[in-house]
Amino acid sequence: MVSISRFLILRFVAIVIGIFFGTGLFAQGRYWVYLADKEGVKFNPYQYFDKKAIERRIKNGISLFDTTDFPLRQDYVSNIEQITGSINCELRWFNALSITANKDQIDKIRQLQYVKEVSEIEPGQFVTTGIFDTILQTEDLDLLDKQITRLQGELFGQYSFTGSGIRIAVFDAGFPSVDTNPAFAHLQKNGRIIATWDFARKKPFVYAYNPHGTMVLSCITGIIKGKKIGLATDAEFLLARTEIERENYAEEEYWLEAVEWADKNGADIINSSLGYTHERYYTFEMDGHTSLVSKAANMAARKGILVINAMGNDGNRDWKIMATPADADSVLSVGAISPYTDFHANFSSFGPTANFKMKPNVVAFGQLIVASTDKLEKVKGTSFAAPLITGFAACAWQIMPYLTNMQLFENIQESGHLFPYYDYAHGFGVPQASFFINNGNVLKMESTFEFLHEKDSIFIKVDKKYIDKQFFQKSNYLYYHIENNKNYLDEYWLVDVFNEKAAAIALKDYPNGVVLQAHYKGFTNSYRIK
Amino acid sequence: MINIKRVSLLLYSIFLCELFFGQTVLLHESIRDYDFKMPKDGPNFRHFNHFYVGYAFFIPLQKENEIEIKAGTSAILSVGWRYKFKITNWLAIGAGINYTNEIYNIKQIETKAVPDTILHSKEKLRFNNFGPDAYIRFNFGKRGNIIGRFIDLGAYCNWPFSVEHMYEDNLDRNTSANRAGVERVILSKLNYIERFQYGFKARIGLNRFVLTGTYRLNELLTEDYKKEVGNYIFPQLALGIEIGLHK
Repeated sequence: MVSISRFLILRFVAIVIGIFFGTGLFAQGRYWVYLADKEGVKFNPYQYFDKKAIERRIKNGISLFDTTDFPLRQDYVSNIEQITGSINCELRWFNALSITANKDQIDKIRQLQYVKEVSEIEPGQFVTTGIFDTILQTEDLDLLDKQITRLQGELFGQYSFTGSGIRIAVFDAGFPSVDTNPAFAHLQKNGRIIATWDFARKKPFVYAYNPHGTMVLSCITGIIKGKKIGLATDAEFLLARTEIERENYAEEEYWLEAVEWADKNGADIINSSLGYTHERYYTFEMDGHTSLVSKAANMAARKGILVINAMGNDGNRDWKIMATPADADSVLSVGAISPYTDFHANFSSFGPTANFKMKPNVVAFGQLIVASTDKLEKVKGTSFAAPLITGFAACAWQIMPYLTNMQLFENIQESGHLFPYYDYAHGFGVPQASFFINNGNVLKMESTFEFLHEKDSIFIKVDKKYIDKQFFQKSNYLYYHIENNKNYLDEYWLVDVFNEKAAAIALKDYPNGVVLQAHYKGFTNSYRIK
Repeated sequence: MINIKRVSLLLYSIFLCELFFGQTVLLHESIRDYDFKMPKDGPNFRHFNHFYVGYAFFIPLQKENEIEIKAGTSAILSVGWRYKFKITNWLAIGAGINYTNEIYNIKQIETKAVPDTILHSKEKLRFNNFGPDAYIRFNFGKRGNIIGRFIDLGAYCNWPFSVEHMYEDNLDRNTSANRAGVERVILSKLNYIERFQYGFKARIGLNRFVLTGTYRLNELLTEDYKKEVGNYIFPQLALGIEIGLHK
């Protein structure tokens, strides 16, 4: 009796202590310390940057002596280190360092003349994927083909565009078996994994922990029995472990550190499935400028890196919209469509941003086949749609190496199957390889519908010959939206058409000047309501 | 046959409807319905209330006069409603009301004295309580519209509106009067139980998941009764979990 009750009390006390001190409630907290200047700091870009990083800067017309790349003043850093005993990490881009400190230490640091600002690091949460524990069936082999062909990825293959010469940084929670998995044998054989770093453990070994990164990497570059899982099979990779379970304080720091690491090591593209939502933010803060990660993602874009981020899986939850940093202007945010319906997958987060900027930019399959630690699996989540686009982007960049990152961003949008139509569920649609193979030239589609103004309504009348009458195999998708005078959408629809008069807009519901735009079978047209 | 006809009719009706309307809406979103403003209510707002359920176990503290109970089966089930008034991002106060069902499963040992010295196969005291509590809450860290991490310190008071003394005896089945084999007795309206309970409460929580601790300050037995049986007390500490029934 005595031993049981003592055991229970001790157990409870241990849990309490674990919660209190493990999360730093009473003991110490984690803080960002922003420094005032970098005066007198020496910087040699040729020593610091990888050769590819220098090439990228020259191509994008970016100075090699951008002060954001300069190191922190070490006298400041060591003074702060003397107060706290240690430094978690340094961020050159933000002239900041992360520390763990108690209240007295923070008070001392705040009084230092060269400290501009001190802010607490808050916990957060990452985008997760849905249920993915399905054994690969015969019909899933078709899905494996479709996830490539929906992007017209076979065209890239025919012309041997495989992302060669493009360096991709992948930020994720771990990459178990990537060093032994047959889906990545080509990377190992050809030495395509250039660098790895575990930001949690400060070690280069990343081939363990959460298999999410392995699955994501397979969507970019995996090959299994000669079949491609992703498109960039000849790209080079930087693998960063930035996410860990049960440590939601540190992950944002790791991500920020990893961006600088990727830049230094010559990354052309960053693929990330990071996303913070309601745990830290309100929806009105999803404006692309509030969170530190969105600022960092934008800065990475300014340094010539194409940042690709998953939209998030909150489409059917209360939060509904994207997770930051997918809200950042310069981030190519990727939503998901269902391979079975070819339109918005219900879990995929919607746009727009809180300041009504268009998101997602493009979409890809959000339910697909990936290589996991030891088998092929069917998974779902925008985390897997994003790397499909990353592989696509690498091939596209190989075709048009003269493009800057933001030009490539725009070209990928233009290659979307709905372009120039867009909405906040599909962006510009699924990027199509033919756009890049044909050097940006797109076949002009003949008109498939017209607008009819009758009495108090505008009708969208679809040409009869474009209506597929097969009752159970129809995919007569008509997309249309109303764009208001402030240049963002008020409403949008996707309908399956059976009849010529496919949709009607009542004029009394909308003010003058709004634009009705529609897309049907490759043809887009607009009508300004007067 | 009838079913086939009905299904055919239904399919035909759907087909006609689709032809008539010309479309099936697969997706419709109105941005005017999106709210990008500061929300007006929720867990991180000035006023917030919610229901909760909890379960806690009595933990004997090995005091000399403590009544020995069976750990694990002596427990408190609670259901309640709680209100929070946020003062600052890190400080809130609140109050609530709750119903608790407390069971003390008394060990049947030679030294047993409460409620009496008779040994049974099983013996329990069951309290049905109703009462208010009040607390002060310390929150930690910037957060979205969630409760986040918190520590609550507070006090409670309970009115045991129904207390039952239950025991069970195994009888000799071989005697004609005792064929049933088991005798169960429930005694109520006990006059040796105090009319109120009060004590401290503490909670540590992360959103809806909460660890709870309660420490009862008063004794459950009346002074008169203690004069008869001795100065015995029931275990005062209970540790458990609570689930907030909110987003």
